[in-house]
Amino acid sequence: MSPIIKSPKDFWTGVMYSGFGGIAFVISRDYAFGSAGRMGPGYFPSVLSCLLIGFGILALARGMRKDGTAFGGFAWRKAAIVLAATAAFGFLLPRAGLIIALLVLIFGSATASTHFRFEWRATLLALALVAFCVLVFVTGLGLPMRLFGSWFGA
Amino acid sequence: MDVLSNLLLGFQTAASFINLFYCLIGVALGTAIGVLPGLGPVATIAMLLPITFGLDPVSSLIMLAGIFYGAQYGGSTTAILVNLPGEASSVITALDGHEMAKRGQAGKALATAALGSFFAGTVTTFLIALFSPPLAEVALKFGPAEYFSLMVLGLVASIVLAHGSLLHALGMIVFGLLLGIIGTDVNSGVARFSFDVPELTDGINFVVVAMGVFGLGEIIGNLENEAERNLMVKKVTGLMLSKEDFKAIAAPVLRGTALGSVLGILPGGGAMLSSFAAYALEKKVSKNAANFGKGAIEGVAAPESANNAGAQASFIPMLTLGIPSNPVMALMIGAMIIQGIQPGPSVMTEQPALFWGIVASMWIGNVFLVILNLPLIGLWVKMVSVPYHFLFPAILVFCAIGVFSLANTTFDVYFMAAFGLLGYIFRKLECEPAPMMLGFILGPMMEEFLRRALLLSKGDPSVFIRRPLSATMLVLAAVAMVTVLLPALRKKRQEAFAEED
Amino acid sequence: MCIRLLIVICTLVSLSSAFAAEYPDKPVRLVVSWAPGGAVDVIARKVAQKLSEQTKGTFVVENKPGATGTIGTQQVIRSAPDGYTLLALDNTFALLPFVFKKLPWEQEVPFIPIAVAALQPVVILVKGDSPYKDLASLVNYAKANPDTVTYGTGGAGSAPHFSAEAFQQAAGVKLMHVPYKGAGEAMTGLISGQIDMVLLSTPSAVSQLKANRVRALATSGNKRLASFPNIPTFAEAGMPGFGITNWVGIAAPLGTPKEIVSRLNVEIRKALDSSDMKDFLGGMSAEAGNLEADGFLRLIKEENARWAQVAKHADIEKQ
Repeated sequence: MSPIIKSPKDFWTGVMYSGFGGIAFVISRDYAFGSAGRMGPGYFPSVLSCLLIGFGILALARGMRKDGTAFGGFAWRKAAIVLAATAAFGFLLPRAGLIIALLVLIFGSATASTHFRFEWRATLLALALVAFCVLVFVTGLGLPMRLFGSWFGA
Repeated sequence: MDVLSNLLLGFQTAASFINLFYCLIGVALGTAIGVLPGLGPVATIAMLLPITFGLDPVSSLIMLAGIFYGAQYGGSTTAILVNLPGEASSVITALDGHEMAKRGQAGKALATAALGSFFAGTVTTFLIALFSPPLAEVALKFGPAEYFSLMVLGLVASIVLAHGSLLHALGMIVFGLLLGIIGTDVNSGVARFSFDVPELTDGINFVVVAMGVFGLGEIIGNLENEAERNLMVKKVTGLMLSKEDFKAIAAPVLRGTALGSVLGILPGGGAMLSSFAAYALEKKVSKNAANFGKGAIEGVAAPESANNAGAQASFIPMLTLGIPSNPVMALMIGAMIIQGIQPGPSVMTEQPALFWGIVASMWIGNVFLVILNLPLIGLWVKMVSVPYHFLFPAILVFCAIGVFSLANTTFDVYFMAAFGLLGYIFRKLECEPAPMMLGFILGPMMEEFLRRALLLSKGDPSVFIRRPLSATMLVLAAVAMVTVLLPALRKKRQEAFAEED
Repeated sequence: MCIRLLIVICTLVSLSSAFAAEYPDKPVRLVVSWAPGGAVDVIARKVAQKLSEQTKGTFVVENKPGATGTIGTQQVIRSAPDGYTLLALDNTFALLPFVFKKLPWEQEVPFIPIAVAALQPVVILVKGDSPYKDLASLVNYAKANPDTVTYGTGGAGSAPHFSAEAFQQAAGVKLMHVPYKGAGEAMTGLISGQIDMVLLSTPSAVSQLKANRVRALATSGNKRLASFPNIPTFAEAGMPGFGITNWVGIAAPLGTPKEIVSRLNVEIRKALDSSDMKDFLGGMSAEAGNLEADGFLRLIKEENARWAQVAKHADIEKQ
C-alpha cells in the first residue's frame, strides 16, 4: 500500500466526488447565478457542486489519514465486454435490426463469463430468447424495432 | 348509505364477466412487464392503447389500471430476485429484498411483498371509495412551499437508507441531485449540463440510470465473483411465512400503508416518496433496526405496502380532479379522452358506473394479483437457481430492450452502458447507489418547488416557516437529521474523521 | 463499398415496390414528437385509427419525445420520403426558431405539411372563485399594478409562455411569469390558487370548466365555443387584435410523392368529417382543421411571422 493513500476506497471516492463537483462547478458558471431570493439557473448547481467538492475533500483527507481496506482487483476485461456488448446492441438495432443486435448482445456478453463455452444447449437457449423477444416485443407489444434494419434496406 | 350503493354499483360493473376478464388480462400483463426489467407501464400502455379503442370505456380503463398496478407489483419481483429495480419504489425493496434472496429467503421476501401489497391495496381501495373528494381537496392545499419541505424531509430520510459510511452517502445524495439537474431548466428555459446533445435536454430517464447502476453494475460485479455467486443459491428455505414472520410484518405493513396512502394523494410526486419514507421510518422505529440492509423482512414489508398504497392513491387526484400525478396517469387521461370522456371532477357525477367500476376493479385486481402471484413464487425462486452464465445475458437483453422502449431511442442504451460503468465503480468504492437514486428523483423537483415558492413570495424565504404544514415538515426533518447524525458522529469519534482538529 | 451498393439496390427495390403496389401496403409510422397521453398524442392516435379503417392499412403511432419536439421532427425529416413515415406536430413548431439558437434543420418549413387535424382555441382562465369576473377587470387591475398578477405556463419557452407574452403585448400589461413543468401542472397551480391565470388551449380546460373550478374570461377565434356559449370571444371582451389558435397537424418528409400527400390530405379530411371524429374533437372543444395542404403551409408561415414579432418584444432567452 502506498504511504500516502492509506484507505484507497475513501481516497478514490474523494477524487471522484471532487472531480465531478469541479466539472459541474465550472460548467455552472455559464448559467446566470441570480440571488437567493430570485435564483437563476446557475444557483442550484453551483451550490450543489461546491457541496460535492466539499464532501470529496473530506473523503480525500480521510483516505490519507485512516487505514482502510484495499481495493481488490478491477475486472476491466469483464466490464469492457459487458458494456461493449450493450453499446453494440444500441448501435446495431437500427442498422442491422433486432435479430442480429440481440445475437451480438447475447453471445458477446456471454463471453465475459468464465463458464462460457460454445455448446448446443446455450445456443438453443439464445435462439429461444431471440424468438421470445421478437414475439413479445415486436409482434405482441409492437415496439418500433425492425427485425432487419437499414443495412438490409428496411 | 350513499357510499354503499356507489360501491355496489362499482362491484356490479367491475364483476361483469367481460370486465373481470379485462381486469385479469390487465394485471397479468402488468405483472409480466413488471417482471421484465426496464419495460415500464408507460411504454406498454402506450403500445396497447390502439387495442383498447374497440373496447367499452370501462373495460379499457379497468385493463389499463390493472397494467399499472400489476407492473408495480411485478417490479418488486425483479428487484428482489436479481436486484434490478425498474422504478423508484423498487430501489428500496431491493435493499433488503435482494439480501433476503441471497440468503435463500427469496420465497419469503416475495410472499411478504405480495401480502403487504394486497393489504395496502385493499385499504386504499376503501379509502378512495369513502374519502376521494375531500382527500383531493387536501391535495390542493399543498403549495410549492409544502412540497419543498416535503422534499427536504425525504432527502434527510434518504441518509437513513445507507448502512455504510455516512460521508459516502452524503456525497452520493449530492451527486444524485446534480445528475437530476441535467436538462432544461423550467424557470429559464436554459438547457443545463446537456453539452448540446438534444437527447439530454429533457434530462436522463430514471430507468436508464437504475438499469445501468443497478443492473449492469450488478452483472459486472457478479461476473467478477462468479465462484461465490453460485454458492449463494444452494439453500432455499421456507417459501411461506411463519407465524413469527407475520408478527414481524404486521406493524410495518400498517405503517407503510398509512404513509403510502397519505403521500400518494399528493399529485406533485408524493407517491414516489412513499416507499423511501416508509423504509426510513421503519429503520428508526423497528426493534430489528440493526438488520436493515442485511435482509430484514420488515424492510420489505413496509416499503412494499407503502408503494402499493401510494400507487392506488395516485388515482385519487386523477379520477376526482383530472390531475395526473405521474406519466402513467397522464396516459390514462389520454386514454379517457380518446374514449370520449373528459377526465375531471365531472366524471364522478356524470359517469358513476365508470368511476366506481374502476375503484371496485382495483380491489378485484389486487385479489387476482395475489392469486396469480403466490403460486408463481415457487417458479421465480427456481429461476434464481438457473446458472448465472445463462441468466445474465437474458437480463442484459431485457434491460436493453426495456431502456430502448422508454423513448424509442438507442441513445438511452448507450447511456445505460455508461451508467453501468459508473455503477461498477460505485460498487468498488463502496458507494451505495440507493441514496443517489433518491437525490436524482428529488433534485429537480426540489429546485423547482423552491424557486416557485420564492417567486410567489417575492423572494421572502419565511414562507417555509409561516405555512404550518411546511413548518411542521421542516421541524420533522431537523429532528430526523439530529437522530441520524448523532449516533454516526459519536461513532466517528474513534475514527479519523474526527481527528481533523 | 459493397455494402453501400447493396444498400442502394435495396432502397431502390423497396422504393419501386412501394410505388407499384397500392399505398399503403405496409405499416405507416406516424411519429409523435411528444410523450404519450398529451393532446398531440391523443389526436394523432385518433387520426391513425381513422386512417387505418379508411385505407385498410396500418397506421401506427410512435412516440419520439424530447427537446421540445425537435428530436421527433428531425427523425422524420431525415426519413425516406416514401409516405411510410409521417409526423404529427403542433403549434409549438412555429415557436422553435425563437426558443433555440440553432435548429437541426435550415428550412423554415423542413417538411411537406399535409393536413391540419385539429384547431384548438386558446382560452384565458382564472380560478372559479376569482375576483376577476371579466377580461376588462383583469386587464385594468394588471395595468394599475404591473408585475402583480401571476400567470402560469408549461415552462419558459413553452407555447403557453408565448401565448401569454402575446397577450401582455396586446393588452399593454406586465404580468408575473410562474413557470411550471408542463401545462397540466400549471392548471393544477391555478385551481389550487397558487397563480391568478393561465392561457391554455381548450382541451386542457374543458373538464375544469365544466366543474366550475376555473372560469374562462375569453376565448380566441371568431366565434364562441359551441360547448361553452357563455364565454365571450376576445373581440367581444374588448381585445379585437388578439387571436391565437393552437393546431395539431400531420406532415411528411420533403420529397414525398405528390399523389401520396394529396391522398393523405383527402383521407384525413374525410376522417375529420366523420361523426365520431366530430364528437371526439367536440368533446375537447376543438375543431376539425379543414385545410388544403398549402393552406396548412400558409398557416405555419403566418405563425412563424407572428411569433417572430412577439419574441422581438418579449424577454424569452434562447437556448
